[in-house]
Amino acid sequence: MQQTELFTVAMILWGGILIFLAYLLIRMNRIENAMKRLKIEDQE
Amino acid sequence: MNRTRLLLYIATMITGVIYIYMTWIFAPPEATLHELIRILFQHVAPALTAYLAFGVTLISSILYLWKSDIRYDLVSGASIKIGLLFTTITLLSGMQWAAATWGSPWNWDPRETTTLILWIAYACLLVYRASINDPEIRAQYGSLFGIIAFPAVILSYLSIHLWNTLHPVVITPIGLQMAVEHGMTLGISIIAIILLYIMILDITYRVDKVNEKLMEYRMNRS
Repeated sequence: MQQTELFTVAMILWGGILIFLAYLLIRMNRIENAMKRLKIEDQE
Repeated sequence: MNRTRLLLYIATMITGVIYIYMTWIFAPPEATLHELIRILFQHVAPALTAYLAFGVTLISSILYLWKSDIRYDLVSGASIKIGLLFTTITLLSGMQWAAATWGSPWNWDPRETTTLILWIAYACLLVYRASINDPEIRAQYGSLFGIIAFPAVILSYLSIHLWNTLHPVVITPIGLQMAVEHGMTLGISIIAIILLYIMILDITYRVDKVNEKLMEYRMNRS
């Protein structure tokens, strides 16, 4: 019983942090792609 | 990557590993809570770090209104996001702990209720900021609301002293009410999570700054 609760709390803490870092990574990727697209369009 | 940033990232990783070791191996089970004491090290540190994050939002909001430098607003916005992340972690881990020790995950306890109010206040602020495209207007009103929302942090922190509560008072004026090993683990957990907060704040700030540049580029283009 206690093992389940401990596992859930660890998942909440580290899962939450990892999800946030993944969100930042995805956002950064999107920004980079948008920048590249805009620059290519400007060059054309 | 500059030297300070690299040192910060390395320090965060080292303290993170020590924190995990102390939480799961070093800290002994407690007499009444047994293994559940390990939840404490994953609940208190995110809660204190969330308060710190909203404190940083308050200070950077004041600095923005004083100096009108958009960088302070970017720090404020980034800190709200991370503060909300840690408040969510605090609420969810607290619910797990409450379910195990109080019998129900949600008891409308003053600490639970005021922390929920805190979460709602900053979630509204984040949504509000995201709904405004003009960076100047967003920064002005965002800073204003960043200051107005801060009493929710004070209320959440003081709730266990103001009302009768089920929530234990761990940090008292005379020190920590726990075993030395648990106190040491709690101390390391707070340092590790604060370092993690600074690292994530740095990354979020840089992503938001690049995003601002992209928006500016788009505006100039059109």
